[in-house]
Amino acid sequence: MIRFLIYRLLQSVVVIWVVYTVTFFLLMAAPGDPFLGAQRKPTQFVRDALAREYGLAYLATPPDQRAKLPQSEKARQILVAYGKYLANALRGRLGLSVQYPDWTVSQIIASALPISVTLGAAALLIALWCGVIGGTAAALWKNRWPDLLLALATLLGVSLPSFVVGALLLMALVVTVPLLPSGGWGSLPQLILPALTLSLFYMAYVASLARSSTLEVLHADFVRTARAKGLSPRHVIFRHVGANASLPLLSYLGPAAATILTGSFVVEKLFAIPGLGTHFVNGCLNNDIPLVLGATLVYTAIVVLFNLLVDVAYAAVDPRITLA
Amino acid sequence: MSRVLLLPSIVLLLLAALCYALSGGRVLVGAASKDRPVVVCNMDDIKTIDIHRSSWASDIRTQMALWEGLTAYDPADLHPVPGVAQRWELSPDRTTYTFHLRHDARWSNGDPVLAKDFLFAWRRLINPATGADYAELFNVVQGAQEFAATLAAKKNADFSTVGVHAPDPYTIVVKLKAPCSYFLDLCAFPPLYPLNENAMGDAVNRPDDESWTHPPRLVTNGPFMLAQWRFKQYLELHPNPYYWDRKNVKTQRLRITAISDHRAALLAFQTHTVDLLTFVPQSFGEDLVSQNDPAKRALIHYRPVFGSYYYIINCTRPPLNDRRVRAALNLAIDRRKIVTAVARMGQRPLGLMVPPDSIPGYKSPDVPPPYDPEKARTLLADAGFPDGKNFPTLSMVYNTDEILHSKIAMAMGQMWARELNVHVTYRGLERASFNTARRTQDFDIARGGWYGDYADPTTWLDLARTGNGNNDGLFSDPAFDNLMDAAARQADPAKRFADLAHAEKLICAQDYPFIMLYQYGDGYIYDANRLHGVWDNVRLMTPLKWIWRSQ
Repeated sequence: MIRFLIYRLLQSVVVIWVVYTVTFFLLMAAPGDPFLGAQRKPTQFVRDALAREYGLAYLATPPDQRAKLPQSEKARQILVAYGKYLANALRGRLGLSVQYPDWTVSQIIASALPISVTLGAAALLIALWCGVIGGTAAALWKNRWPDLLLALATLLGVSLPSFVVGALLLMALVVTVPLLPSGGWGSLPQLILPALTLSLFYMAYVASLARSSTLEVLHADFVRTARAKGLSPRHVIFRHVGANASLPLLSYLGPAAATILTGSFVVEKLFAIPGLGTHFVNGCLNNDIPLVLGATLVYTAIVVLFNLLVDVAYAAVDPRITLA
Repeated sequence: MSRVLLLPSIVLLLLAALCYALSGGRVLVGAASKDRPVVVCNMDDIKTIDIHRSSWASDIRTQMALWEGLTAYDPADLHPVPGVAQRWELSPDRTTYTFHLRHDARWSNGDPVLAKDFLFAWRRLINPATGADYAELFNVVQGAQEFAATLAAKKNADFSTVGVHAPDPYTIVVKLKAPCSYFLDLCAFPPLYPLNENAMGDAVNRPDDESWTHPPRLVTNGPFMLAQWRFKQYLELHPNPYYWDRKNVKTQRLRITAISDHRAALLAFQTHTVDLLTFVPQSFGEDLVSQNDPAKRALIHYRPVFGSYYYIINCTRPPLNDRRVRAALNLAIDRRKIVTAVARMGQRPLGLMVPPDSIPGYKSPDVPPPYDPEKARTLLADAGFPDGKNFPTLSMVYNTDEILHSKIAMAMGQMWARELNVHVTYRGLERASFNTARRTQDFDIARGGWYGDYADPTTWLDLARTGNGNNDGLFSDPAFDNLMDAAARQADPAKRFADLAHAEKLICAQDYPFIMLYQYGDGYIYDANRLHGVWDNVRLMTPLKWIWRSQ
């Protein structure tokens, strides 16, 4: 177990490094220029100062002249910048955002990540429990009305994009029947609609997963044995069927958690929530190199961490699996 | 299932609770709605609090609430009124201002506001290392341009060569290069506000350190002080207890927030979580402006503003370097049709560069009608392209973050094809690539938009000056530059305006470096029965000092 953990942690470091490096060079190759505002054009002096400030020497050359730079010089400047960024990242320094110069990238992530995680965790909880209950019910009443109802709901949940569901929920529960606030962050009622919107897709997925794995387990030998022993149906379903049917869910939970916890651009925009998803998209649109790098780093770390957690949880739950 | 899923559920629940607490969420909904802060909602987030790094309207609006300059804007018509300066004198040759500072002006930490605070801030403004967007505004002051140039050449410069002096702590003398009728207006504009050097600490010498812009380190001298700033959530402002005009600041808590999604913003206003929207969402603009219910229409305070929508012609590329070709392209565009059929929010079509009636005392020049397809065809034929024969395909560049830009580009392309048999390729780019393309002259025709910064025609006409940093079409006409220089030397304000009108006529009836389309319309959304002290002016500068809510 310990050896497995050490091995996986080392592997994680390599994965994170590779993603960081690929992102860095992709950003260098991307068109556009972070120092060109919508309004004014920086003078060469300002350009030099900004390039120094952000440790990106190649940006000191205005974009129209950058093509004329000798390839070797360009490569050298980019490699130097890469070295600097990597060294700083290792020391936990992610630099200042270009678009929001009053904030460091670490501050931005520290303020946005908890919001996305809260929203994601709430959504995942809803998805998990509603999905499992719905899926199990459908399996137990296979081909009867609960099953058909679930099939329809699953289809809708998977195929309706969140901006449609979100808009419909806003229409119903904010405009027509004013029960809930329209958006923003800071109080519990504001959490309900976005969490519900975000959960629907995952809920549908969890439900269909729970249905198929429950069906599979229902016909397994040990279930027949349990029934034959005369255990009550409730006991059979909750203790024996449920426990085994939940295993596939666990492996889905890891990647789903990593995706859902790091924020959704669409839901955040729809409900005016200041989460991390918005920063990804805006950071890319504005060529905010330090912000995109920092956000990617955190995102990768979370994905890797959750996959690791799932592997450990798997071993803890299923005695057949050992972590060698 | 309960056993297996219980652990992940507990983990998720704990995670949610912990992060919710970290993000500043509250379990109980706040006190009664009467104590709720006055909430002002911008479309864009505040980019920076630093008065020398901002150029966005939402930043400037916030800075005007936190700071006060030598002068302040009268909210009704934005003429300069006393701010930190109680009174001032202008020398007979109109080039020297002597400002007398009020003795009761104080910073939010209790320090008196002194002349040195202004000199310190102005020095930082014009230092090229600061990278201030608006540093050029200060070039009207003697020696400022030379001081910046010396520093930019990495040499030592003596600030005493700049025409700003403080004979005593409460007096500032400013010597201008030439008479500048809008200098008092500039003094009310955030880049010329004072800074408290002591409060900035180490940040003074480090351009990469902006930590002084956060409370509690941020010290300001305006009606409000910054109590809390949660990134992308809100800025909370409380009255500055030391402000000299404290009695006129009626709002105890002011919250500035941003919602970029038009639907979410409108919904927030309709559900009373926002008191003032500082923009009219374009996505629903047409519905909002033309709705029939008078009570609902009364909430929309929409008007023509000090900004315009236009296209820039790349004046260096043949055949666009021929002014007859540029004139033909201009005269073939039916602006009225673009406004009524495409933009559809009742904007004013524009054949001029400076929005008419927006600057007190300035009379726009008379120009021939901007839509004249017959003349356009003649001009194009004169330039060697009868019926558009052999005319190259033009590349039209615009940004795609708003659908309207593509629609307008296509409407223009169709007008040119119909009237002149001139064809275009549409290059819609995302914002960052668009900026680069425009700044590097990688276009034949590119979308432009501009908001005037101060009440003077030069805030517009400078865009056409040779060598101006924002002259993206690289237009250059010595006759125009000479007229602008003559206007700058002119001491008589009326004659100066006449010179400038003449210069504007060159642009709009002869040289045509731009295709002006319409004057922007914008405004506020608020309920005038509940929210008071919001002012309707062409530059949409509502000083938040006066705002208060009655219900």
